[in-house]
Amino acid sequence: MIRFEKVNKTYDDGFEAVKSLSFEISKGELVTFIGPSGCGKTTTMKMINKLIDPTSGTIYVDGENITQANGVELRRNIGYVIQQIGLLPHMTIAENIALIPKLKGWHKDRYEKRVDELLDMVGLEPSQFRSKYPLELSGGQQQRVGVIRALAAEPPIILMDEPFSALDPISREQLQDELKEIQHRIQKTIVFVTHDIDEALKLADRIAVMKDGRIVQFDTPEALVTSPANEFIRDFIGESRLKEVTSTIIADLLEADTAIIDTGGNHSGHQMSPDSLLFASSSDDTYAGAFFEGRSIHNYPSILVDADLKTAATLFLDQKIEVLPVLNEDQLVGLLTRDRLLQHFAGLGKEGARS
Amino acid sequence: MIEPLHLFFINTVMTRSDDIWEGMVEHLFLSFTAIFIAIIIALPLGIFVSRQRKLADLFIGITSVFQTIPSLAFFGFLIPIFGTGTVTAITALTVYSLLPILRNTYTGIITVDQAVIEAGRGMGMTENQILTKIELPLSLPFIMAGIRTATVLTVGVATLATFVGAGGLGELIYRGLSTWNNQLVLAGAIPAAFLALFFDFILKRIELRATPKGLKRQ
Ligand SMILES: Nc1ncnc2c1ncn2[C@@H]1O[C@H](COP(=O)(O)OP(=O)(O)O)[C@@H](O)[C@H]1O
Ligand SMILES: [Mg+2]
Repeated sequence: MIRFEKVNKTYDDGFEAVKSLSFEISKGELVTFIGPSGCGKTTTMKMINKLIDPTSGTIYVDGENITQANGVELRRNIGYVIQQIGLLPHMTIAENIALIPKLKGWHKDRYEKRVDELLDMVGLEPSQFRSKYPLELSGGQQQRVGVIRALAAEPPIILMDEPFSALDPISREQLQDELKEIQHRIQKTIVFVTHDIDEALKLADRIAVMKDGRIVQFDTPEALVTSPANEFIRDFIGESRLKEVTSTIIADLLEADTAIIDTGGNHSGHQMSPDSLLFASSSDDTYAGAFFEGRSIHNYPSILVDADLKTAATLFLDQKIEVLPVLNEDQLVGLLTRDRLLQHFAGLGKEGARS
Repeated sequence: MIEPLHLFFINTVMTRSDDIWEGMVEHLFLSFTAIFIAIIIALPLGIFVSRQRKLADLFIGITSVFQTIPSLAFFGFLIPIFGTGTVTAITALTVYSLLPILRNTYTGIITVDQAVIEAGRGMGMTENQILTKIELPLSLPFIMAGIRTATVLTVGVATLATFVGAGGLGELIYRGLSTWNNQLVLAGAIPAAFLALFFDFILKRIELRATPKGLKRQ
């Protein structure tokens, strides 16, 4: 969906902000760019929608080389969210959201319906918020509008530059959760710039860690935590988190709320509702395997309750699964989801910072 | 018997009402023609220098230099070029009106929150749409304040138009001065002051109206 080939950016003053950057982001992926201030994250992001032109190299968006593309046209099909929010203060919330759909020539019925639908999606009651002005909203509410404004014209790609950094911690976490939830439903290609490793671990499908205009490691959150490429990455992730990976055992983060259901036969089991996966035990409580729509799945991996987080992370990574059955010897004792593991990684930095 | 002063003044106003009326019409014509031309020049110029900030100091500098020239002297300088009459008066008044409008347009535009412009551009608004949908609406109160300042200034300075033979309320004042007739001076000065206050009031109202709803204090 987005591809960089040996992209360089040297600013007019001779500063090389981005150096020979090559990477690819697939459709539906949420990729975070992270790194210290000034490492070139914003520059990289703004080259995707041609707010900045690369000095050399080629950028492809949806298979097309954007060098010749019209910037305005390109940007109308790429959502854009910035830290300072930037809602138009003289327009109502509805007018703000409908701005690009209107410029794209949508009919009134269509964009009005879209505005209400989007407000509903982020929990802002349309009848109450439609005709308010941005300055009447709290920071968190304003950025919710910032996010849905970027979604309004249904762009396949969304760029977000530290969108939640300026918010208070509570709003920030709410918006992260909402974004994750929205992304789960709409599966856009999202490029998300942040300097907060917790945020990156929580949200990303893959994380690109940048330093001095280059990508140092581009990997999944699990891989980053379990096998950091070098000292820089280790520092970034933090020693406490790295230690946790081998010292914490699965037992500490078992999902407490996965119900054991009685399947009626001689099996009972844990059910993962969204995937309709069933993990079953026999009547003597030994684990009987994973079932999908009633059929047994061969070789579905499982993990022991006293295994460490690294083992779990590696399994999620290699097997590309979302949930693992957790066994105590041969008994099924619970389930571990990939989300739960990542949430745990993300949460660690904060606990470390507090102590 | 000596009449009380104010009765004497009312008497002057009554007998000179035609002159006062004519002076007022000329005065308004001169002032508004000048303001109108100044807006046509200074507004686009203000937008232009907000795009070419290096030139902003130069243009604003030039217009402020004109404003430091004493008004009467400036009218005088123009006579060799345009002769006497309406054209000279309007030219001088236009030049005086430029600075407030230019400076406020420029300041209004460059003080628009850059984040809003950045968001607009990032969403795919054209430069023209950024100007008409973001920058101008948000700087309108500034621009209106500039026009108000220019108007009050011009209505005042227009009393000097009579020295280049362009009439206006200044004519009554000038005639009053040269004939030692204070009542006549007042018959010109009071309507001129009234006009300035009146337009200040009206334009202040328009300025408040021009403030976008979302920016007014709730
Ligand atoms: N317009 C510019 N001219 C010169 N240098 C710039 C410009 N924009 C950014 N830079 C420099 O390029 C580097 C990378 O900037 P940026 O991409 O904004 O970093 P990040 O978003 O990672 O903090 C910084 O050192 C910054 O000072
Ligand atoms: Mg940045």
